Amino acid sequence: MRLPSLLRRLFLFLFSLAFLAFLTPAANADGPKDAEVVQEFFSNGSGHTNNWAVLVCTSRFWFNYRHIANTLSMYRTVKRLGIPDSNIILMLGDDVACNPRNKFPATVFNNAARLLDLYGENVEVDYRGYEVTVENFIRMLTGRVSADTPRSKRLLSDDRSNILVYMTGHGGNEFLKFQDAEEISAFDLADAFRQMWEKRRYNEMLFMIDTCQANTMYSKIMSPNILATGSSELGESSYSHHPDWDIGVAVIDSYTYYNLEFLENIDMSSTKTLKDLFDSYDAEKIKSTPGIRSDLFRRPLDQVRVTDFFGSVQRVELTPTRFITT
Amino acid sequence: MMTRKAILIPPLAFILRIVLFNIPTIADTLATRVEVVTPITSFKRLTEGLYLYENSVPPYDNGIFHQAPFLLVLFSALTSLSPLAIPIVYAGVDTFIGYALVVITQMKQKNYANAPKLEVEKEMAPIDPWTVAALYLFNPLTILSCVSKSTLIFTNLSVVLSVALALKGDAIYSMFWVAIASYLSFYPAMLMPALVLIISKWTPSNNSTLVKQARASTFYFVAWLALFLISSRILVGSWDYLYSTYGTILCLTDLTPNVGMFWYFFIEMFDQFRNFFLVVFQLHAFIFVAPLCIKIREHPVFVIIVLSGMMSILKSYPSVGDAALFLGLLPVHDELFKYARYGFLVTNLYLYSAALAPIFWHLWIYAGSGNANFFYAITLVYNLGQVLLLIDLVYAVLRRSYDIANPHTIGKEVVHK
Amino acid sequence: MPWKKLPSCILLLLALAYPVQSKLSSQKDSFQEDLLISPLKDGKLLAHFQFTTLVDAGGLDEKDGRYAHYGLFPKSIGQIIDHHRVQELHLTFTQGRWQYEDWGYPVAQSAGTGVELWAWMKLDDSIESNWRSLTNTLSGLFCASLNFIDGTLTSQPELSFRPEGAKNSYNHDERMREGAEVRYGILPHENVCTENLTPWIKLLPCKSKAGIATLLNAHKLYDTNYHSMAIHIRPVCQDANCTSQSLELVQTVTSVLDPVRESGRRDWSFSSLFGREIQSACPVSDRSAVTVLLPSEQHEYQLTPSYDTIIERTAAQVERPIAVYNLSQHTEPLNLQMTWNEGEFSYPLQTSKPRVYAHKYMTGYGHERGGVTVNIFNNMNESQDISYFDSVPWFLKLYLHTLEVSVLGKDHIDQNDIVQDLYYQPAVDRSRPQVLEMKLRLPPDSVTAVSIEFDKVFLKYTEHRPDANRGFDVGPAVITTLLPAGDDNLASTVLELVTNRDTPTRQNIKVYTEILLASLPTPDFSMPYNVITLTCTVIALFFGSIFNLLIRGFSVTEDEVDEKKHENKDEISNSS
Repeated sequence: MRLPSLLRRLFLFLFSLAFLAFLTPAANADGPKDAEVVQEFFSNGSGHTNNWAVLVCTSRFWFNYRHIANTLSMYRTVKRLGIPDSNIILMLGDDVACNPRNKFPATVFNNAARLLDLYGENVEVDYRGYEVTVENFIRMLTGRVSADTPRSKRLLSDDRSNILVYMTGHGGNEFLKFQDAEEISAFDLADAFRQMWEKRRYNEMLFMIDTCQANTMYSKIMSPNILATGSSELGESSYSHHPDWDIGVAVIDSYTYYNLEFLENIDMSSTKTLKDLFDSYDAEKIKSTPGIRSDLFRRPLDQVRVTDFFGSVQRVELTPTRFITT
Repeated sequence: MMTRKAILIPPLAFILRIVLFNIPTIADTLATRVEVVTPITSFKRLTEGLYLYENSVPPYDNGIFHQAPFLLVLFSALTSLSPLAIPIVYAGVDTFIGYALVVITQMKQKNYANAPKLEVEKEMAPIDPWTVAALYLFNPLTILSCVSKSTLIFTNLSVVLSVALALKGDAIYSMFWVAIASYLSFYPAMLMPALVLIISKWTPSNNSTLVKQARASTFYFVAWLALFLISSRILVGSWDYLYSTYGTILCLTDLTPNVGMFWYFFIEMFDQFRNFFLVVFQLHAFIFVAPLCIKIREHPVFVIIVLSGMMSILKSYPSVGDAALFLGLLPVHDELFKYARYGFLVTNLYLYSAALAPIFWHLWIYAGSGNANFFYAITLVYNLGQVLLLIDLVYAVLRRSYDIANPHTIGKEVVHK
Repeated sequence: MPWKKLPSCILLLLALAYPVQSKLSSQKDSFQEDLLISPLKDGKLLAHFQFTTLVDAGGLDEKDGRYAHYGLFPKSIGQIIDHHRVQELHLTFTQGRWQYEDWGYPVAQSAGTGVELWAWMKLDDSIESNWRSLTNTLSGLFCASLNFIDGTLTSQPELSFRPEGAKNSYNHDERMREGAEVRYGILPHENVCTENLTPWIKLLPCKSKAGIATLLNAHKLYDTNYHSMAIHIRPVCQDANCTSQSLELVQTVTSVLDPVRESGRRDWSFSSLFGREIQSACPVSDRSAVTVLLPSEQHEYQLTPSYDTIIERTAAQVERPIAVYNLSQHTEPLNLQMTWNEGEFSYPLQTSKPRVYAHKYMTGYGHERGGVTVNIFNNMNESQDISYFDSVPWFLKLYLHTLEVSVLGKDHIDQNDIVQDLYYQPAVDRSRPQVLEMKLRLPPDSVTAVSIEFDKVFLKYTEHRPDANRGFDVGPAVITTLLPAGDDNLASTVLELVTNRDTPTRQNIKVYTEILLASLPTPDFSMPYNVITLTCTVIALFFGSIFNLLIRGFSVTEDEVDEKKHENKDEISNSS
């Protein structure tokens, strides 16, 4: 069809304007300032651009139901706060949801009130059963996996990733037991983290552990930007919180229970800091002394948001001016 | 000259074994007992290998059959004859080993007739050769090993024949039999230097020195062995029998328990140290050959006895059949018994382990109320008994030589210097 | 001016291209969903979901990237097949045991407990690495530990597991077999849970948002007596000459539900079984149907809402009416309900057994040795040829010379009359499993017993599992045979009738036996260092003593004392 001549001229004028604007050299007064804006955008606060979560339950057998429930509670929390399945590595040492001893098939509860099913419809377990071994764990952390390993089993973090590492199970003085057959020592863990730092596989890490004598497990870490917290001191045991009489076993551990009490009140827009989380710990209620190790962490805890580790909140800033790349 | 013993002992031994073969409870139970049969000598596994061989399945491409190809040929011939053939062959071979021991004792006593002796020995008559045979033929361990149809009996036969022929001075056929023994079991290769010593010491030969004899014997040994290996390759059709037979013996691919010390050690061993310890253990079995041959070169038959004792401890898959050979050869040097210090202890250790081993095996495997440590402990006790016996023997021969050289030291305490 | 026409030309092209594009893609894909509900003789209910996606393969020649355009066919599956050179793939997740004696034959024939994977892959140099890579990729996709199917669990059946696709051997077309090999692996102990169902549902075009798949409620599905979830991928011919092919993806869920357990009555409805209703058909489906196999007597039951079509008893040897609900014609949600006109359900005292079935069990006691026996039942009046397949892992050493095939109660029948063919692959320790395959001719009305003895392997410390005292699982034996339609494979006959597929005169039936649990002897796991120390002590004792004896000579201790005594005596005698 033929456009009317007026319209044609208008079209041409607008087109040339756009063309000229496009050709305008970028060297105008706003150039260097934009670069600064970018720099500041990415380095303000934590400096991370993506979040990963590694959630490990090292126990097997039905009576360790609460460890699976601990891990799945954390899984639900980080998913709720924005970390997608592709950025979560979930390692469960045993299957309790579809266990023949489970009175409520395909469900895992962390509360005797049974109001919330942790298993839900949409769970992705990356390492299950016999695959949860010390070797697989360390390989996954350090990235030294075999070439056939599928993507969902790899920790594809980079130097701008904030990683939450949560471990639960049975442990002792500077060791954590994997499935009754082997153990990982605090030294192994520290070495793995050190390799991660050398390979630039994380920006900041929050290491959280809920076992007996948990605080000893992070005592050997030496790499920077790692914040660690554990459920009990050397010589103390960590206790479960309460049992469910129909399921027949304890369904949640104390330390994780009180962490969740705080985290359930957080959503993606929350500005609560880790200092608030740690201040909420009450050794009397938890029945063991939780510990915090922040000497390797460069930021003060009252400036670290909970969602920096537990969520995946993307920073969005609307700039009034157009941003031009050079 | 046929003494009364010579007439009675062989038939009695033969009939005893035939009778026991025909009691199915005994024969079948023994065929599967771990103390008596091992993965490399088990008759059941041989039957499986034979069945696969006759049905054109490669007999060595599996994890069951680990025995030498010549046994396949021998047993395929025997089974085609008649079902009675196998018990007769086993009983006959055992009896013949007894006879070979008689020959060995006779020759040894003839050679030692003019050797330096202690004063007391000049009046004492040496042991009757048929007593030596009786001690072997009626030793419970020997009978158990024979009735279990363990193929170790052919190795024992070869060893004993090689010693007898070496004493007769026949280098070629002595090397033939020791090559057969090495081909079947690998470890008897360590007996070769001692056999060379025997041949060169007691064969009147005009112009052959020890070195020349050694060279010739080594040549015969290697030639026979090469012949056996190549003909096996032709029989079976490929070289993979080497990995299945000698590979299993050396690399311990089958960890079935036996009376030795290797199996539990390598069950509990972590993978990164496995190769190192395998090398150490196998090397350890062979390192005593040179020192023994050098230090005790005056008594090469004794060296054979000690080495067969060492084989029954340090082999990768020992059984009571190895101990039977050792204990059968032992009375050949009866003059050493007066120097034995630990006789009572050793006898008790043997009896103790013989009684408890089956019980603890049952507790572990069938009753489930004991665990592997029980049976392992008994193997340690059994091996400790054999170790003590060996140490005692070596002491005895050295002390006797010292006493012969220094008669005034008889009865006095000595220290090592 | 020509350039003035340019924008209009561009617009015109764009306008034309879009419908052409969508027409192309809609020609290539088609999707059908079916649900078959069949009451079983012992009061249970068989619910079989089947989702079929067909995509045009574009000719017999293989071209790289032939599945480049994905519409309804899931891209993840297409890429896996392309990349790993897979021609046929069958992956089944099963929990529970299919009771052939009570329930007949299932629609989806793979009923072995655990996870079973078998695939026909293109035979070239990289087939082994492709198989390994395939198991790993599938383990990531389905959240199952399929990566454990390595060389020690993989076998290559010769007689069983023939291709089921276009060039399947039952049509006597051998072209598939050239250039392709089969790989089979099973993990009997793998458990199935929501994390396996979720990715499976994501492969469906409508996921669980619309169509029959909305009924797949994990909480109800995993509470059933038996459930099995599978994907089957195979090439199918589009016409009789097979000049063009399609790739067919069939996703099935078979479950056996038990309403009697809850209420004592056989009544069921979608909301009582699945907790949900079907809201609507999947919009992209060509066919969305629910089929109910009705009892022969009309007065026994009531079915609401009433069926759309009914296929009466005279059709194709099926003697019972078949009710079909066509969901694309329904505007309201469908909550099917069936009530039986009876009080409490009473279990039948006798069930009619299927024509061919089998049981497997272990014999012997103790941790040293034992035996395996498989009893194969033939309930027909004529003899039946079957293929027997058993893959036994390497930690049980089978003795082939102890293999006995006999007919119970009929000793006069010679083994050679029953065993027509025998394939045996012995196991190599830590390397590959044993595979025993036989072609058997079962005598009429008989129980054939196949028995073999084994020795149990003593494993290394590190080879035991973390729960070592549980034991190791041994997979099922598989019996494959061809049977015409009958009362025991009614469900599959009905489904084929309803979906208008070609009903073959004889169906390929696979019977899976039970899985076994072998407890192997365990060492003491607390002992590594103790064992090293104790053994080395004995050896060191030996070495040290012999070393001492050989290296050193003797010297008498009393020599010096005697000399001193002599000296003293001399002194005394001198001094006195």
